Amino acid sequence: MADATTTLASQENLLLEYVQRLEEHRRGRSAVHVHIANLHANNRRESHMRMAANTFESLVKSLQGQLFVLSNGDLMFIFKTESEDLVHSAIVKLRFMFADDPLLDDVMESEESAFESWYSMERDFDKLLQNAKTLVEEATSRLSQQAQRKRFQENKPQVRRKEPLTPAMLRRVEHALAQADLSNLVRRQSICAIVGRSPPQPIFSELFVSIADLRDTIIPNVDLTRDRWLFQHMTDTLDRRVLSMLSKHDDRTLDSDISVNLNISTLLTQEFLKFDDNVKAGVRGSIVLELQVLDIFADLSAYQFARDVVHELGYRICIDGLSLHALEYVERDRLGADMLKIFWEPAIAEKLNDPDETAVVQAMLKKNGLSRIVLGRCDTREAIEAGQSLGITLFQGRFVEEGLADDQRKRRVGTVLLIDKSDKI
Amino acid sequence: MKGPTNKLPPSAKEMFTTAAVVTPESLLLDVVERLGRIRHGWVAAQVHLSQLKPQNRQEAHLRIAMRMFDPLVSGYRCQVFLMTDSDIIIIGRDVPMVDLDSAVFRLRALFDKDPLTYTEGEDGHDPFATFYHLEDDYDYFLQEAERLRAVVEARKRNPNLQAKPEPKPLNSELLIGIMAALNDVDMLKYLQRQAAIQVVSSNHARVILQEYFLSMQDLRRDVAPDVDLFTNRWLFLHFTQGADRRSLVALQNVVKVSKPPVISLNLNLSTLETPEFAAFEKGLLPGQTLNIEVQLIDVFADLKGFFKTRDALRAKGYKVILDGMMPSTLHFTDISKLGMDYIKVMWSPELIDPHHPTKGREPKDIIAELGPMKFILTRCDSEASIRWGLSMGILAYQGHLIDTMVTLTTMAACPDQANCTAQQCSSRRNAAGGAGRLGCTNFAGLDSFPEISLDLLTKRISKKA
Repeated sequence: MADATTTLASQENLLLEYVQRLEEHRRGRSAVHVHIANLHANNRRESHMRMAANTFESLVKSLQGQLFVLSNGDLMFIFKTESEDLVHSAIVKLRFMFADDPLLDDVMESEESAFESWYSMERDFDKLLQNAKTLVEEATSRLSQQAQRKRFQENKPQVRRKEPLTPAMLRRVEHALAQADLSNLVRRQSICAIVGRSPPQPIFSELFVSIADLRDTIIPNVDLTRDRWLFQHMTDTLDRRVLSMLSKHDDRTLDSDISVNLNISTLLTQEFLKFDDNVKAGVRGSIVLELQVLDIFADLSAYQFARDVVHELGYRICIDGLSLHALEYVERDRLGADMLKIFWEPAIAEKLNDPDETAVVQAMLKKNGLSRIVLGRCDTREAIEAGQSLGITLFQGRFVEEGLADDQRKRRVGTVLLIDKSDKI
Repeated sequence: MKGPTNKLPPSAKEMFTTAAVVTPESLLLDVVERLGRIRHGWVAAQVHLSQLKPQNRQEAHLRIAMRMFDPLVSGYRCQVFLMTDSDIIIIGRDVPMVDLDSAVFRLRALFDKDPLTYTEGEDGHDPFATFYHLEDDYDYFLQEAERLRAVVEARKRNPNLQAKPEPKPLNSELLIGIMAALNDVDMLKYLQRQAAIQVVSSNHARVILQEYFLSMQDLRRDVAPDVDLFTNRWLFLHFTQGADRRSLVALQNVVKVSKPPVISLNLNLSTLETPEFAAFEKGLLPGQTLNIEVQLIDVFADLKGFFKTRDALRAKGYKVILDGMMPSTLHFTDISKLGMDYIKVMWSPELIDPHHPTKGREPKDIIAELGPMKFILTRCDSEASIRWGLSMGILAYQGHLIDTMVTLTTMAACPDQANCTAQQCSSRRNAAGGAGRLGCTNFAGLDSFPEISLDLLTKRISKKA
């Protein structure tokens, strides 16, 4: 890790050296600085950065210029002015690649662009030199900040440093899962109706296993979710363990209104049928089975069959974990599901600033039935308010839990006061 | 709690291996024989699940099917038997016919995508289920029970008909060994290619792409001979990621030699970020371009990532194809929003069944809406498939029938045609490279993208018929 950052930082030093050396050879040279670092985080994944850098590959190979991949992700390309057109088309390609990023909302033809800055070495040499120096300083301070943070957070697990799951580790995880006591890893979170500023009214509660806690308990140095397919397989195992836990006769969980997140293949297993045996006939209608969209589209025929089976048994289906973006492609009606759960993200609030976008979002929600939508991961009041302004009434998340706890506390206080009063009388 | 139906009875295969005498068939016959004297009020139903398509009668399906009769077991003490061939037989006394009927009806609804539930029997009989009032139909029912047992007994006696040992289901333990074995095989052996054509005039078609793919069955035979590689979806997908990378390495030389202008590859999206893919791209000859075929699951596993990748591929001039759709699954999402260059839809014969539930309506509308030019009908193995495709306005086709057309055209134009049979030519054409192509004396012809005369095919087919 330390080595990698040192190497990255030295790209800034190399750039500075290179620019200094060009002082005597400014003629016929230009540079372009591509501000990848200013893109939205979603657009700055490693693969995007690699693709962006690759755009210049042929130019580098044909000795048209020199590319510097800076430690913040920015690209600096210094090239012979004669290949300016080729460089421009590389930039057009890049712009196309990141077209949906707000940074690129500027008009392409305009001189001033937030996405890239152009330099003519003859005209702007000093500006470029200054820029290179600033980049070195920034990189150095970033490095030292990183080192500091590392010192302070030594005990905080860093996702990046965790190993991805491999088949061999998966086997170990499965063995561990078979023995682990899941009951203390199962969390409960309420889905509540919230209207206006009134306290949350619990409708049902989701039972789930906290994957982070599970990981810390059984295999702390492994990133369980990075290999998506192996992770999905692990959740198959997890599902069966959770179901058999819920099916224990001494557990009264099944008497209440709950939702459980399960894989589609789990719905056809013996464990699910045993779970179903333990669910009282009248309660089934209030049990919600939450399914992942990935799982649904993995095999639509299998989904169709499982959906019909659980509907026949009396359960309801909620499509879980949708982003607002995903909602454009997932329609409740088409999939024959009963509910949808969208995860709150700040991008939703951003959309609400624009009346046109708000209308689009509203139409999308309405099409799916406002009363059938849960807004999940609401950790702030802002999330609830944004959801409410869109007409959503069902919410889930930390903020909802806090509101619920608050309300219960108030009720208890209320009760005590009442008793106090009666005592006085 | 709910009686015997909660557990699947041991399958016949298990019984053979333990050399047990008891089979579900012998149990059934026993019960039926005892009913001979007390037929009054007894009813039975036989649900012919054995006639479902194999993909619809997996263990999980049968488990659910048995479950549908639980109310009859708890309410009327019915007995339910799962036969070796997957048929289900329910027997009970004083069961209101309406209850028995509604249980069968609910089961039928679950399998409503299978032709068994919507096709009519030749003699007017319902091919999905047969009902017996034992008072009147006892003899027929006894006959059926005897027949079922005789079949199983015969199979037991005939060693050739005995079931082979079941392949082990894939698990993480087995996967470790399989992933290692993958590194030791010569992938070239398993790589195949198949062309897709597009009809360009009333009697001509041209090849629009050459798809390279792994013959998974052949690969499985060598790396996991006793394992069922395919039913565990997630572990299989992990396996394909490894297989993708190894295939790309092997393909690098193949496409340099055979020089297809349009190479279609069915890859995991994650493979596009591997060094193997980068190296493959780098090795492409000038003028060669790629089609990347993606599965819907990969699209929905990371929508944002998919769009980014799609745009990056497009920026390089590649085309993006949505693979693996069925006409019956086209309506689940608005595919037009995914912005694919092509959509591959699988042909299956029940599409032209007059009782097919989605016939003519949704697929046709969706295809028309998206533009038939965007579709490639795959698995075309009959003239009927092409006819159906043409009726939808689809002009691009892929499948064994198309392979035959391409082979016939290749042979017709080959100066050495007298040396080979059509079958030899076809299997050499299908091999991506390596030993599978040996014997051909005209590689240029073998790798050509010929213009195809549709007349040629019609003549051959009618001659065969």
